[in-house]
Amino acid sequence: MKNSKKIDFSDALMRRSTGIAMVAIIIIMGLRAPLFFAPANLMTVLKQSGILCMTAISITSVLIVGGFDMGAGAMVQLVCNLAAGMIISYSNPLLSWGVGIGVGLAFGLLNSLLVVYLHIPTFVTTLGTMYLMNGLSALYNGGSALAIKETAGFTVLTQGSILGIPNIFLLVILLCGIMHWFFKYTRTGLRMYACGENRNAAMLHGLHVGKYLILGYLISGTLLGMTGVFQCSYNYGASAVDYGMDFLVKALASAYLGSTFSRTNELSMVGTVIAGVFIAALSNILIINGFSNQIVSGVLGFVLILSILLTVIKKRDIGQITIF
Amino acid sequence: MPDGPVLLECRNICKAFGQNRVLQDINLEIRKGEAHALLGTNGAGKSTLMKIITGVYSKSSGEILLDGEVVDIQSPQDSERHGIAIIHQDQQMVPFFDVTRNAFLGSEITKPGGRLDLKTMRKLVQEKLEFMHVDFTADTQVASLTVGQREQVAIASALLKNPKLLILDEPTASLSNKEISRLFEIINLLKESGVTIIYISHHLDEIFNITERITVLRDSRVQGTVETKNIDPKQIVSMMIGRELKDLYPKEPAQIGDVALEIQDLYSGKLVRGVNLEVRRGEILGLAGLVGAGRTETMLALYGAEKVKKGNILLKGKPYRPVSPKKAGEAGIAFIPEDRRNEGIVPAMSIAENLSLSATKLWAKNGIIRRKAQSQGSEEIINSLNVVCTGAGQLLSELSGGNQQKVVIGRWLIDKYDVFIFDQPTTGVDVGAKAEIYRQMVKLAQAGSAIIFISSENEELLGICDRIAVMCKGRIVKEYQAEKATEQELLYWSAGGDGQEDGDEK
Amino acid sequence: MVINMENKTIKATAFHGNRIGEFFKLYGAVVGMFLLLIVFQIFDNRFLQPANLWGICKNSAFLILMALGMTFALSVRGIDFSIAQVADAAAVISAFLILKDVPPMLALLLTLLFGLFIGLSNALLMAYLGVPALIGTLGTMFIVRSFELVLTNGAQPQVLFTMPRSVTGTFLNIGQGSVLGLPNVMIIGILAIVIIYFVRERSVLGRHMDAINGNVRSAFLSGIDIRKTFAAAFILSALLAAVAGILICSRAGSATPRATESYLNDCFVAVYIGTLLSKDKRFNVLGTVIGCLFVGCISNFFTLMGMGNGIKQLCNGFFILMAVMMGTARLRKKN
Repeated sequence: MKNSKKIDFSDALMRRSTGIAMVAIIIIMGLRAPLFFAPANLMTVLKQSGILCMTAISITSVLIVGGFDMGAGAMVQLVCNLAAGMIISYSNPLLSWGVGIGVGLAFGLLNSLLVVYLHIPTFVTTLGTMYLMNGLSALYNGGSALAIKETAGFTVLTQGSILGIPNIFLLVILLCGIMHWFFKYTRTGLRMYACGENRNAAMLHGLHVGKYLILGYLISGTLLGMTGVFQCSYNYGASAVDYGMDFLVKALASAYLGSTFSRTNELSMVGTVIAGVFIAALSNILIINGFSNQIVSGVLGFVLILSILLTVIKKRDIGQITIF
Repeated sequence: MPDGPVLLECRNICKAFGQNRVLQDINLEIRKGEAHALLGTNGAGKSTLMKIITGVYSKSSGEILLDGEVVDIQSPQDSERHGIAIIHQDQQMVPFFDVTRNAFLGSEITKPGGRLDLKTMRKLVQEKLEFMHVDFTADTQVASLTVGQREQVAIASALLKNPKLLILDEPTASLSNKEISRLFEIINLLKESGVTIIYISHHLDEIFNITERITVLRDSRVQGTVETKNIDPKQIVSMMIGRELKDLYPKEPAQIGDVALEIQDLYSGKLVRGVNLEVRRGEILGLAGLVGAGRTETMLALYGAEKVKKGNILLKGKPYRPVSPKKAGEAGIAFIPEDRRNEGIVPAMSIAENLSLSATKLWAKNGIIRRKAQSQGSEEIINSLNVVCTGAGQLLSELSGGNQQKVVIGRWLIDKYDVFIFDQPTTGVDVGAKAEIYRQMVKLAQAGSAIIFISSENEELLGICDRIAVMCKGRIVKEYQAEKATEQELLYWSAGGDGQEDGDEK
Repeated sequence: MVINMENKTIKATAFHGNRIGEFFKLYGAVVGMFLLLIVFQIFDNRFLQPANLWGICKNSAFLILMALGMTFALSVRGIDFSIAQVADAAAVISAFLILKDVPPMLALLLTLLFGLFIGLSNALLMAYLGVPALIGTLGTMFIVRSFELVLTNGAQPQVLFTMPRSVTGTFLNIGQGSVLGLPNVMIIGILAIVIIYFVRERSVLGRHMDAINGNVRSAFLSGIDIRKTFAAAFILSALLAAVAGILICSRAGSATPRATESYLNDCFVAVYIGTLLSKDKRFNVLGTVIGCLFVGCISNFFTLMGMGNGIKQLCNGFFILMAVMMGTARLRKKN
């Protein structure tokens, strides 16, 4: 009994270690360039984190239920292209939303059917659909960017702000709140967590894991579709560059980094968003400190590895990808 | 209570898997409010009977009656609906969920719209927890609970469905003494509140502590049902073992040499708590004990597959530090694992490939495997062990259990080893293959190796070993020369002997 | 004994009926691919010209090296996302060093050491620290990319063919020269295939890799050093990538950062198509080689027809999904 107090303290320290490290990094680098802490810049960071957080929330939904999605970034990109195309051709944001969510659902459904009914591992399935989506994007935009102008009721969603806080971040908070509530306080959400965390326990309690996997892919597909439309709004259209993998890595890093905030290393929406903001802040602070854009992606890779290292190092397995 | 009404009755239950008759004419009566023990050696049929009652297996013939009426149980859900619940040894839980969520998983109470009604669920769980006088609340995260406490959560979860019958399957396997007494208190509370208990365990001291009646299964039949207060441990043990030792153990004497392996005061993990053991060349040492006694764990530590906390090991007289299975093999220790399917074979590889894994270099030249050496070597092993197969190229997944086991053993016959550890090598193996395996052990002993033979079938230990050591709760509690031991004594000491266990290990 | 005999008899009769089925299961994919090539010929009759086919073979060498590296990683239940990036960086580094007046052969050696370094780093992360290969190699990919961009000051092409031939001669000859009519690139490719085949399919290391692919715990308890074996896969794939990168640079006479990244997609397609050509749908060396040639044919066809990147990507996705669907269909039938 006398040891328990000691254990509690070091335990609490370990749990907060990721958080402490994150704050420390920001402070150290911020000291070099105090411009970072200017309120206007902080708001910019929140704005810059918007799409990243949305993508991360979407992929977290499917990670929670035990699935995986290589094509998360590709989906955002495809929908962004389609949405831009809708605006350019028909000037109708509603059409963009419809197409975006429709395409998201469609690919989500495709992924889930391949995984659940054909028993193809999640990694290969989503790798294949990722290529399909990339192909469709390339065919659709013919290699060129699809730019849109300021569109009423559309671009303001991501570009505007209320009381200084960027709209897009408010949307992130809203989305996070809804998904957090869904996964923590509804029966379906609870069961999805169980399927992902301990498949055996879920099956022993009579849960049908396949059903919840399908649901997970549908939810994440829809969210990714929405994110794609928001990206179109934020970016004033679709760029010609292929940024799918970039988005994926950032989203994965956010999800895994977010899972290190809890002692039991479970994924959570709130953790994901905090980690997402951190990654955006990191990019921002690097640039302010004079590091070029080129360094940023390298730092990202480093953060990704570090975040997962913290969660697996206790297990002492070798890093095979048997689940994917 | 013991003379009260009958809750569960099994009439002439039979179960066969193909030609294999696992249960024959089982007639059993469980009375309301009693704690009824179900005893039997491995393979006697206990777990099959429970699986039938809980709807996992279907019976081949016979009837189950609850409260006097015939019931049809086709699935676990059916069983649950009839008020039957079972607590298994290995409770699967979601670590980061709290107790409430884990307890209600799969049968959550919701408000309209799919929202979890946490307040109601929490209250109901808390009620059950308080009823059991546990020392944690419904909000506690399961990750922070001990195995014993998680079992309490499982019991609470079962209680939420208001079961009439609660089956406890080996509930004390990983519990500390304190947790075991807690469990007994809970069982008494349950009995008082009208819940009937079936208690499955090998631990005779526990059975004599809390049960009213005992049914002994032997060789797929009911040997008898007795009142606990009218019988003593030695009599129960004779009921469990009745037959004469048949002569299917091809034991031949071997020349016993000097000490090949000496283990001094070995500590490892939670289950190995000061093991002292020695084996000589040419000797077959049996290691008896119950599940959870720490036998496999001791051997895994010796083999370098688990960390050693404390202790000394002398191999062929020289100090030896276990580092990894690879180094152990190089030092001359061979290990045949317990779980053939998950730890022994590589199902997708052929017989020849499986055979090559431990001493691959012997069939290779300059790093490249020589086909001729491999096929010749494989044929030799297949012939000497009588592996029934279509050839060395057949996939291991297609072989029967016994033949798979022979291949796992064969892996270690390609090179020379000083110590062989066989961990339950004959589980799920047919009679012919078993004889082959025993023969092989004797041959290896005669060739001068030291053999350690872990088994839960005391009969085979008596048939093949020169010496038998009994392990209980992480230590060796008794050693015998095989001729001087009896099954009764082995069972007795495996279950704790005089019950003189020291202290609380927490 | 009686039961086993029964099993044996049942097996024998089933075997006869399955002969034709077996043929199709193993070679059905090859037949399908041949048919597709004929379709290509119909669309564009330049396709099956010997010169065109020869060109496809020549150009496949780079992909073959990288895809073989990927085969190593995938065949131990790992993966190497960084492989194309390492090739890219190797090309850039070798050119960069030569441009900085490092003697070409030394530059080549240093580039190989770079490959070895990345391989060791990956090996450490995945085999000894337990980072899942998917995440770890993605991270490495991004880090190497950053390194390249910084080194080349923002993706400036490293151009070698403007340097005097006396300096770059030996280096460029590797990729551009030939011996007795056979291009060096092809010789190196064939050599690599032979060596890799023996390492992966016939050696002790290869056997150990099969074991950890089949059941890690069994492999561990039978005395295999699972960490070393798993690590070897990553070291070999990085080295192969480095060789590929050097060849690419040597052949073209220049190295443009990020130009080789698209090979990653082709690697996946080639390797997964290759699984269709093995009895139990495993990742294998010869299947990968054929997969590479097939991918080469598809690329060539698209180039001849003037079809762009979009169709190419769609086909990548289609072929990968087809390959695994056919693969799992066979496994499902078995169960």
